[in-house]
Amino acid sequence: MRFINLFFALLMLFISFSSFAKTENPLDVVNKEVAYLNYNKSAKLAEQVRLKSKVGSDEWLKSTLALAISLHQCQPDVKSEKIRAAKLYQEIIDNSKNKPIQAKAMLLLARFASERDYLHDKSDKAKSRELYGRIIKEWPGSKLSDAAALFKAQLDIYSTNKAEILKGINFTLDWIKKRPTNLFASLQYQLIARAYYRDLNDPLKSVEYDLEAEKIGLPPLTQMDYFYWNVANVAEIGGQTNIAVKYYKKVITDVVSSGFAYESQIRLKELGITPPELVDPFAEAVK
Amino acid sequence: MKDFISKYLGAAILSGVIILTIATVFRNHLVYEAPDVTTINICHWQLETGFRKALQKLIDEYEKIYFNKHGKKIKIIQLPIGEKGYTLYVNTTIIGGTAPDIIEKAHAKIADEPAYIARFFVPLSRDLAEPNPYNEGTEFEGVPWRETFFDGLMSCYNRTLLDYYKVPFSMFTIRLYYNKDLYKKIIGKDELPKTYGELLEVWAKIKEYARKTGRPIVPIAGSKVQSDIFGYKFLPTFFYTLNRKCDYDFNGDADRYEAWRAFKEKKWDFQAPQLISAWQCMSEMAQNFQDGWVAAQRDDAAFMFVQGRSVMIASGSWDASSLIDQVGDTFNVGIFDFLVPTEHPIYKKYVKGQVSEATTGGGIPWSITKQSKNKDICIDFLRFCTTKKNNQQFNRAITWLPIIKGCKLSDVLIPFKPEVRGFIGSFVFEISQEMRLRAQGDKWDLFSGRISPQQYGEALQEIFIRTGEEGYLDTLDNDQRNGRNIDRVLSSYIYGWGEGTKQEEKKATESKIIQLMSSVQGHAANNFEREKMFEKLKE
Repeated sequence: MRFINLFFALLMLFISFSSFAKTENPLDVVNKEVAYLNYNKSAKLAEQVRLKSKVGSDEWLKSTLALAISLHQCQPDVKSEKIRAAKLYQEIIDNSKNKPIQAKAMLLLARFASERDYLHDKSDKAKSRELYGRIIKEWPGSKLSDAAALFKAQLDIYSTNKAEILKGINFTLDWIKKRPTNLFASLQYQLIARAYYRDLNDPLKSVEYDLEAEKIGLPPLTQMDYFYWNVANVAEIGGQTNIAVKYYKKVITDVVSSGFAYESQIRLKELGITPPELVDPFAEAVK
Repeated sequence: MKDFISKYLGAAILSGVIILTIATVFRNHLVYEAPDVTTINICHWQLETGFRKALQKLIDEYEKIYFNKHGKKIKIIQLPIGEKGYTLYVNTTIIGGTAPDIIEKAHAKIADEPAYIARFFVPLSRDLAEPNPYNEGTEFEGVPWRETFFDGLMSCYNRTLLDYYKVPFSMFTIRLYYNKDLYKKIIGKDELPKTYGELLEVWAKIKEYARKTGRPIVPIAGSKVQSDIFGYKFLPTFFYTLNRKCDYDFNGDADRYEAWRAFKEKKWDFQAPQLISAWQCMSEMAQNFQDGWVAAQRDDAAFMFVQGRSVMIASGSWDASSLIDQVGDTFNVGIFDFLVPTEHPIYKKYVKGQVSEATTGGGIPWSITKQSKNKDICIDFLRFCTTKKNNQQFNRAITWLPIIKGCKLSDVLIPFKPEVRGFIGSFVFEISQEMRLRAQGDKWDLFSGRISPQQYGEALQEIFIRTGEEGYLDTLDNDQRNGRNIDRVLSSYIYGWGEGTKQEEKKATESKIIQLMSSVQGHAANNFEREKMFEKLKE
């Protein structure tokens, strides 16, 4: 019996040592769990790291941000956790002057403010605007400021007030002028294009800005036939037949097996144009 | 001896079972979990023997190639799960952290909803943009993996997450199978009908033949599944003009919001000629099913056809092998496409062509779970399976349609070749849960002729008006939650934005952030517009 006990004790010791040897850096584990969107787990782990780190240190800031994001985004959406997330974002902002993590915390807190997550939760768009404004002012030239500019414009453009919409459009156009190669420029043009067609009933301007977006490159993996089909339809409504024809043709020739290809042929015929031949990607399978 | 057996037999069996169990555990451990063996689990719900055999052949070849290439042993284990338990299995293993490395993506909420997909499955756009190394020395050398699929993998693109999360092995289309011998005997010729009108005449002749001869033969074997196949092929063709009138955002579909808005703007109602004609046509076709078809199962219909008690059956290419095998030498099976009523005196006003099959694809879609410790091997295995040679070999073995460019269809599958001429789009009026239940439930009464299309329309209109606003807001609530879920994904990327040392990784994160911001922007714009429209049009 004594030998059995000894054996188990040694086994336990071995297991403890082997698991100790394999232990990863706790913050790396937190990062991994955040990347997996495993927010319930990352919250617990981030809390542990945060408690062991010195307030204001890089490790503390990173773990606090991970904890704030985890509480902000974990489900179910519980009021107390969301409120704590906001406080944590604020703590980071207060303790990270001139560090890029401050802008990240501001951006996430701004998103948080305009979202509604639990019963009786209210969207605080004014606070979001203020925070986006701070990022733009305090972090000029940063990629985070480009993101803030896009989100800020959305707050204005998603409005029933025409003046607000135009304010958002002008702000965005100024931004693109200042930072034409910013990461989100094509999204900014698309935001404007949509507003012109849907809210301001101006298909001509809508097409103009969609084409600008295309010129600088649409977001990766955009479904091009949907984009071409949309441009062609709006252009046709706006009486820009040349553009409509060009984009109906692009649906047929540029996108393999688009569901809109056959209909584009019909639209072209209706416009008096001989359409390009339909590309049948399956034809060779029966040759 | 007798006493000995009665006394120790139970214990002996028990001991035997225990020893066997221990031996099996040791064997499995040695074979699958030995330190020098990497095990990959792949689960699916295809219980057909042919499928498992065909997949196993690919697995065996891959294991050998992998060993020769890397000098390491690998074991890929198939986990076939029945259709009924599949959802439960996928959901519980993924949540429990014990998911297989590769799963056939179907039947489970976790495999369908964007937020879950982003959380549990590996995005594949980067891998799909690179060439498939197993294509070296072929016409696809240097070609991005994605471009080697017939449809450029458009059917697998997730329009919410703006990425690819699955790699398919096959594609499916649906057609009419017919008994060639019986057809010739009754109709007196081999030629098939060319129009919907001619098809109706053929069916009438078959009915007349059955009446005259007293033989229990019907034109088409029916069941609810078969009826839905006709619905899938016919209803959108009637709704097409309505769809385009209500598709305010030009995405090809008139969704619930757009249908509600257009209804409020008096662009249509439930007596619209497009709807009445569509339901009339469906009802007309269902008259050619056997009596009591509503109570029949899919297998009953197949059985009728195989036994020569129906001349035709509507089904998919997935059934080709089993139907032809079951028929054997009894009669010759032919296959032809559905004939939509583009020349019918009334229907032709609405039906302009058939449903496009240009985006056909995505059958047997495989996804890699984030929990997998061997993602690279999983991707490599999927690449191996989707070379032209292997995809053709796999699909030939089970008589399915291959999905890789350049693969040739076996003769029997030629009629299943996707037809690119046609229209896409849906017209969705089932705005509330009550509407969905009633439309689905009453449809059987409609198709079996118990109620008229007008009565069906009246009943639906009453529910649409009564529950429309509530349904609109419920749907909006659901979509807002979906939009919010994309933000949960975006936050995770913002957390890692700018971190790390590798330039390539930083670029990939930025690219993903742009995609997600685009999705967030799209959701926010749509939901804002829907809210605005509701306020404007509500009573």
